[in-house]
Amino acid sequence: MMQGHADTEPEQDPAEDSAEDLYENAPCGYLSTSPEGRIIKVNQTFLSWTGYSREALLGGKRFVELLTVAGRIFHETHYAPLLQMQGFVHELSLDLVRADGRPLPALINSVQQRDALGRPRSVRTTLFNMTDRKRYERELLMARRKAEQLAQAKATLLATLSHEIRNPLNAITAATRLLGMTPLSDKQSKYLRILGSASGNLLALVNDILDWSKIEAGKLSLEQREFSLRELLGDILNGQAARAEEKRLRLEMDIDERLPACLLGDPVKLGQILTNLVSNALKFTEKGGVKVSVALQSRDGDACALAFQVSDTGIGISPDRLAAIFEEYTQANYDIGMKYGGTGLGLSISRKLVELHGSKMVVQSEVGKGTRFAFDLRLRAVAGGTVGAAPGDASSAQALRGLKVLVVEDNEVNTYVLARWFEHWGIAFEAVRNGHEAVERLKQGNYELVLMDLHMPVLDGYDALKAIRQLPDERLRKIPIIAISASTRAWQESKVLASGFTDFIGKPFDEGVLFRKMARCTSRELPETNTPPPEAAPRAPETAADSLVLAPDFSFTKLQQWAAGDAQASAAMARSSVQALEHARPTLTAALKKGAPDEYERACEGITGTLHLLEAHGLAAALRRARTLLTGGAPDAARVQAAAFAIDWEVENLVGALVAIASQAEA
Amino acid sequence: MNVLARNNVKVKGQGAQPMVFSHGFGCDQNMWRFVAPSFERDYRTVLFDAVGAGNSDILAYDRNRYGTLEGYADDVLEICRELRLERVVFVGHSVSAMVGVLAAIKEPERFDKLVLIGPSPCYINDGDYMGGFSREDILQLVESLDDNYLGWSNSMAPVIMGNPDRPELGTELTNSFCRTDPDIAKHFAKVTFLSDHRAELPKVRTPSLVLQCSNDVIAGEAVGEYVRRKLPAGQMVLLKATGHCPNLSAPEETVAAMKPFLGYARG
Repeated sequence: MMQGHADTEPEQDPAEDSAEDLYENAPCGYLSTSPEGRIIKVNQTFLSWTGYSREALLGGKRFVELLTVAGRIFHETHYAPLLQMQGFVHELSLDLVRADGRPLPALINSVQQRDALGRPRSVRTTLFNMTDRKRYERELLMARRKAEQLAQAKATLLATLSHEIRNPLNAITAATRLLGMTPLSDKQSKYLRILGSASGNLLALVNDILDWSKIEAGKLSLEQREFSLRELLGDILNGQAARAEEKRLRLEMDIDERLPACLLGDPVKLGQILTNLVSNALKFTEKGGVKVSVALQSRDGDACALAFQVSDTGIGISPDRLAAIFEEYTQANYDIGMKYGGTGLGLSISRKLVELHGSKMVVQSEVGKGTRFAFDLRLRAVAGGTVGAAPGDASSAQALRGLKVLVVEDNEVNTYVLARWFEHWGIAFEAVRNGHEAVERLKQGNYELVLMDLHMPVLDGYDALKAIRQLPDERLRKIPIIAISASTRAWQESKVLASGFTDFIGKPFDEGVLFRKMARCTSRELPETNTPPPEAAPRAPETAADSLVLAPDFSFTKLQQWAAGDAQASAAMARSSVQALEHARPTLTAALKKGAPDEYERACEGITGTLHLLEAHGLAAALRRARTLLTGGAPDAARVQAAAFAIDWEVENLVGALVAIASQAEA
Repeated sequence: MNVLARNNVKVKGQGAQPMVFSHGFGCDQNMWRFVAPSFERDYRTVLFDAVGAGNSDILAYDRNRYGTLEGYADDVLEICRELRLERVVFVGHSVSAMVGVLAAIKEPERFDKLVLIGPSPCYINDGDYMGGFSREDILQLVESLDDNYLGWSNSMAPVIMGNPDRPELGTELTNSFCRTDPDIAKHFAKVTFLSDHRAELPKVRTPSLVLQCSNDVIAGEAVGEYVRRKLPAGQMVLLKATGHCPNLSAPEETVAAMKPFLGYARG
C-alpha cells in the first residue's frame, strides 16, 4: 500500500509542488510589499540570507526598515520615486542589514502590480546577494581612484617640467633677439631667423602644455577686473596680423557699436581663448580670411550678454571629427598633426576656459567651406570705468588741474613716471626722497595732497605719517596722504589704512586708478561720473600673479608711450632703469644665495616700478621663481644657482636693450 | 548664459498667477507629473530641473555656487526674474522646500504662498532638535555613494533608452527618470543633508503650508511640526500618505490638501 502510494506520488500535480518550491528556495530572494512598503510575502532564501524569522518580517515590518541609514535615504529619494514613476526599478544596489547586524549587499529589481483600476496593489521585488560582486566593485573603484590620482600626479609633473623648460627657453628667445640687434652676415641672419621661429614655436608649445596641465589640476580661477574689450580685441588682431599677412588672408573684426567701453572680467583668459581661436583659424585657412565678431545680445542693467564668434574660410572639419576636436591631444586627424604641427591642446584649453566662465563653446563646420567657433559670455559693464575712458582725455583730466602735490619717493624711475602723468594732468608737484625731507617740506609749502612710498631710507612712510599727523598745524594733521607700496602683504593686513593713511595704491599702479583716488581724496569731482565707480578688487601686483599668456620678456611700449615721442625722455628713463637694475642685481643674487627673504623682498620692491615700466615679464617670472626658493625651506644649491643665473640673465637682457635706447638718443 | 536652458525650464498652464514647482534631491521635474497638471487650468505652471539633475545644463554646475542651498535659491530667483514672475506660488519638495524658504526671504515681495512638501531645515539631530539622523549617518551616506558607485550609476548615469513622456512604455530594462551625474549627486547629498537653516524659518513672511507625510523616514512628523511652529505664517496638513514623496504616491491627496490653502472652494 505504502509502496504503491509512493509510486504514484510523482504524478500528483508536480507543477504546483515545484512552483512553491521554486519560490521558497530559488537562488534569489523574493519579497512582496504593500503599496505602503509593508512586507506581505517573503521566501525562504531571503530568510536564510538575512537571518530573520518569517514572523518577524510579516508582522508589519516595512522593507525600508531592513536597510542601512544611508540605504534608507537612497530608498526614499531614488528607489521609491523611480518605482512610482516608471512602475519598476532595475538593478539598484542597496545594503540590507541582517538580523545579526552584518550588512548584506543586494542587487534589487522591483515591479509594481496594479489592480483593474490601475491603482498600485503591491510591489514584487527580487534580490540578488552581491557580496562578491561588491568586493570586485570596490576593487574597481579603488583602481579608478588610483588612476585618477596618477593622472593628477602626471598633470602636476607636466606642469613642473614645462615650467622648468620655459625658463631656459625664455633665455634662448631673448638671446636670439639680442643677437639680432648685432651686425650679422646674410647667412647668420638666416640661421638666426630659424633659431627665432623654432624657439618661439617651442615656447608656445610649452606654454600650451603648462596651461592645460594647470586647468587639469584645477588650479585656475577667474579674475575680475576692469578692461576694455575693444582694446583687447585690437591687441589680439594686431598680434596675429603678421601671420595673416604672410598667408595673404583677410583678418577682420566686427564689434557691436553698443558694446560698453569698460567691462568687468578676466581679460587675460578671454584674450587667450580668442588668440587660440584666431591663431587656429589662420593655421587652417589658406584662402579668404578670418573674422572675429562680438555682438551685444542683451543688456539688463549692467549685466551684458555677449556673443563671440571666430569664423574662417579654411579647410573645415568633417562631421565625424567635430566632437573630438576639443579633446586633448586630438587634432582632426593624424595627417593634420604632421602638416600643421601643434600640441592639439589649444582648442581643449579654449573650451575649458570658456567652461570656466560657465559657458559652452560650440562649433559649426563644413569641409572645404570653413569653420565657426562661437561662445556666449555674461559680463558686467562698469559705468565710468577707468579703462576705455582714461583720464587722458581733455575734459576729465581737468579735474586735478592746479592741484599741489608732494611726492615722497626714493625711486627715480617711479618719480619720473609719476612726473609725466602729473604734467599731463596739469598737477603742480614737488618730489622729495625720504620721510624726513617730506615733513620739512610740508611745513613750508602749501600742499593739498601727499603721495608717499612706504619703503624709504632715513624715515620710512609709516614714521613720516606719524610725524606729519603730530604737527601743530591743523591742516597738515588732516592732509590726505596716499600710500604707495608694492608689498601685497601690507594691503592684506590693512595695516596701511589702519595706520592712518587716507588711501592706498599698489605698485605697479594703473594711472586711471591713481587719478580717481587722487580726485576722491581731494574731493574733486570727476566730470563724467557723479558716483565713484565700483572699486576693482584689490589686485596683487605682477609679482604675485601667475600670468598664463605668453607675454614677451619685456616691452618698451609703455616706456615709449610715456616718453610720447621725446627721444631724450625715453633715453632718460632707459638710463635710470639701467641704474635701478644694476643697483638691485647684486643685492638680489646675494640675498638669494644667503637665503635672506626680507633683503630679497626689499630689493624686489625697489625695482617694482622699473619692472612695470619695462613690462619685464621675463625678469618678474625669474624673481617669482627665486622667491619660492626663499620661502620653501632650504633649497639645494644647484637650484639657487640656477635661479640666480636666471635673474642675472634677465637683467642682462634688459640692460642690453635699454643701453641701445639710451645710446640712440645720443646718436 | 540662458537661465531657461540652464534649468530646462518648462512653462505650461492657462492661468495668470505663476506656480513654480521645485523638485528635491534624487529626482527631477518629472516628479511633478501627477500634481502639476491639476493646476494648469488656473495657474501658469513653471517646472525646472535643478542644475546637475535631469536635463539641466551640467556644465553650469559650479561647486562653489551650489556649495550651499543659497545657490539653488538664486537659481529660482533668476528663473522668476527671467520669466518676470510675480505673486509666485512656490511648491518645493524635500530639500527644495528650504530652497523656497531662502528665496522667499531674499525677495519676499515676489512670493504669494509657499507649499513645502516634506520639509526639513536640518536633518541632523542637535540637542533637543531631532532631525532624524546623526552626522555619522550622513557621512556614511556620502561614503556609500562612493562605494555604491556602480550600483548607483545605474540609476544616475545618462541612459539613451526610456521615454519620460510616456511612462506606460517604460518597459525597457533601464531606469529612465531622475538621472544625475554621480559626482554631482554626491556633492548635492552633502550640501542637502549637512545644511542647517533652522534660523531662517522665523524670517519667512510668506504664508506657508507644510504637507507632512506619515512615516516619512527623511523628514519625520516632529520635523514638519517644528517647521510649522517656527514659520510666522505657517500651517500644516498631515497626509495619510506614507513615505517621502506624496506627490508621487498620493497625488490626489496632495492636490486636495493644497487647494484650500490656495483659496479653492472646499469640496
